[in-house]
Amino acid sequence: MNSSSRCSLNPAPGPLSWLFPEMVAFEPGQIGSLVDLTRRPYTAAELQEHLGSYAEVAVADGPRGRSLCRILKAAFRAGGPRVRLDDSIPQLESSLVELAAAAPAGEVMLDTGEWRAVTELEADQVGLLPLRPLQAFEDIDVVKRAWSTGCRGRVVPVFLTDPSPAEQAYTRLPEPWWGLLPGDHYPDDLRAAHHDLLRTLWPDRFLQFRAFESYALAGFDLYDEVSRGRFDMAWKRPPSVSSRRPLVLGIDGIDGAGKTSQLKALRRYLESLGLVVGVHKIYRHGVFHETVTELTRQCAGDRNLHLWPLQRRVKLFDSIKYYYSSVVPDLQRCDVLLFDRYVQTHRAAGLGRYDHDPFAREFVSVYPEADRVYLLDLPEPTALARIAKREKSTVDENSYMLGRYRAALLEMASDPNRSDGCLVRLDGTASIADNQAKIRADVDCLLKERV
Amino acid sequence: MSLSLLIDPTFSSAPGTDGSRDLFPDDGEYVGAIAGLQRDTTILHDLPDAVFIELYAYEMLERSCEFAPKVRGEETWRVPFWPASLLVAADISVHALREIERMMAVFDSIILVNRPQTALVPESNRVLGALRFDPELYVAAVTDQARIEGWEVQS
Repeated sequence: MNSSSRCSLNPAPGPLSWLFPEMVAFEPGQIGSLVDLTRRPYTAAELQEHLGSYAEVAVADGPRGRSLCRILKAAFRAGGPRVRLDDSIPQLESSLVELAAAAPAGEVMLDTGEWRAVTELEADQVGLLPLRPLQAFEDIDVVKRAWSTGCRGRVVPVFLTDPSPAEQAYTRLPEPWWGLLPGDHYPDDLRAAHHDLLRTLWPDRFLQFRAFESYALAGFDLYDEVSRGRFDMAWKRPPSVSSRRPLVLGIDGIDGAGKTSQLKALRRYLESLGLVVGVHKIYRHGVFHETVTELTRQCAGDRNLHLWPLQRRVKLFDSIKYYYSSVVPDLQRCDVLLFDRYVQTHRAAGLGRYDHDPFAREFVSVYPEADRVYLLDLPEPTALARIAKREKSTVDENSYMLGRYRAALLEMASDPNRSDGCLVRLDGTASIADNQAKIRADVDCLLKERV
Repeated sequence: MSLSLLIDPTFSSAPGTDGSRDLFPDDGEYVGAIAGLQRDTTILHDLPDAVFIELYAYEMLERSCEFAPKVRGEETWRVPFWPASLLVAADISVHALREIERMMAVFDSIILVNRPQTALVPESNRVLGALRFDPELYVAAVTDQARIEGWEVQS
């Protein structure tokens, strides 16, 4: 036990090193009692156990350090070392800012700390090119001119971080992306010039960069997600609320698929059997829907993309609010719960937009696994024709996004591991009566199994 | 018509005694959901603090959109925390609060009630699911905000 001791911590490599592993050589060397996550990986659990024996943990100050500091403070909230930032611990980003301030224009830094003209870089040498906030175009031009004259060193362009949010920012980059991207100061012309540079210097990594950029601009903090190690932790389904669980059925599908009509018909059928039926809509309308739709509209035209994850979390949390206020009481009262859309819609919303939806899995885990979800599958042109008569359209009511959501739902239906085996595809262009007959036959089997 | 906001982290112990409208009542859906997650899951522990602070701010927005059209005469709404100060006290610099605030009702006046730091803990557990910020930093940040904005401060 090191109850009176202090441990220093250098955070694990972030997005810059994910794209350019060569950058690890530029990280400051190990000093004193430094736990250096750039050179030795720990799982979240291992790290928590190791640091728990110290009285104080000092985290290197910088974009990655600030992220890690927040995670550790939360991890030790119930007791453990005092966690604080320490700007005296050398960190790549901090040293870069200092070094670049004195760097001669058109020079790159080697991992030895020396500066060298980009034109003198040898083919197997890695040189770090600081892109200065107000002179990034100039810095990019220097390298492109050198390339046009035959230089072939391995140049890694690094934006010097700028944490101050611009008033007219259309993105809010989570801190760990800084370096790979330039904070909020990332206008379209700089993006284009940077793309052009990366395509020239690192053609084999350009698509990976675009994937990172896409997540970064949308406000996803992949570094936080990885560092938090939340997938290692005791994530689990909640215990069953009651031993007497109703049959849980859902009707899912894209807008215009005919869910409401099927739901009404199925409800009538189940009630005719003498069953107590609760009907629920986990995607609610009203004040919530109007407000969150307004928020989503601010993302139109690929602007304010940092609002996208927020509107996803708001929608997910509204389903949680609905679950505890309306679904939980019915778990005791009803024989059957019918859902107009189920958690698969949330999964499709995340997969359809970015193939990634942080925290969706955790949030929807409060809902019980459905016994069956009927997917009314409909080609998007047919769906659009059906919903054309509605008064207001959402940003997703277009052929592309409906197609993405449809594809995500179909993928879940085709892969039992992604849908808990409960998603059954029905042809949404078939008549209501035909689909209702199929649903009722299946529900009869499910009811018999329960008896 | 006049709309005031009362920021008081201890109001839940004596709800509504002054006729104000509580935006985070114990029997409301939001607090019920936080309590349910506390009881049934590890989500409140596993997910970043920023998630729950933004959800808190968004709940203020949603309730303000619900109640604002119904305001007649003088009305006071009550919340436990000022979201911007929570973010400062949790060291969260990247967030969507500016956009949330733009969509929120405009208050004719804001009153900040000073309470001891210990009073913040149970209220944070109730509306944020855990103590997600440094109480000392929060008090400093919200006091600073009150001074800058010219809010009335009560002790």
